[in-house]
Amino acid sequence: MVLEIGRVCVKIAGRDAGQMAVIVNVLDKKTVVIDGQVRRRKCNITHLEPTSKSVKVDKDASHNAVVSALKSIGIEVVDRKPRKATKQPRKIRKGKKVAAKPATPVPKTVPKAAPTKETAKVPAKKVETTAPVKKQPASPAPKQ
Amino acid sequence: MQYLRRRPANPQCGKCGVNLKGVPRGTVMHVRRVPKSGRRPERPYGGVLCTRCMRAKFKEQAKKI
Repeated sequence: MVLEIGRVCVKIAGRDAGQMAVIVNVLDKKTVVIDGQVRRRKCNITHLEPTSKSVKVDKDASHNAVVSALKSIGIEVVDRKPRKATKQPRKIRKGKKVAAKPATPVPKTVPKAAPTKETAKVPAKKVETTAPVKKQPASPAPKQ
Repeated sequence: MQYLRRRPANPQCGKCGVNLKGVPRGTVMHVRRVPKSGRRPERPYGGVLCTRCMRAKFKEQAKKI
């Protein structure tokens, strides 16, 4: 069988197409487990093209073992670090009003000032001025 | 009355000329609205070669190794 453990293959399907892989395990007649430049995964043999090269790896060998084995035949594997989750700033809609927090906190209890005589008289005066206006009679009809 | 722009021709494989799948057919305005991952298949030569031609290309490369 060409596709035995340790055979170096090229993946020819999917987003890992064109990358080198080593067969780590043979599950059944048509599926194998691969590792190497590709992500470690189960793979259909129709998605693999065997090469003339093979490396010595154990069954279910670890990723590091596969990487070192590939390095011995001149194939470098670049491990990509997982992407860090970053917080993206939320977009604020144009029409939406955002309640801005006050810079300085307003004290809850405000000392009430004692009412002075002048301020007490002001509303009384207004009433006096407005009252006669309301009492004014309607415009008299023109006499003929 | 409103005139609509004619859609461009369906994208085709650069090698065999078959119509490509997974590539939206529309004016630039419509295609720009689609996310980048939706504009072409996520594989090497996606949106350029069909799967048959892509596999044939990698098979040839594998024979040389």
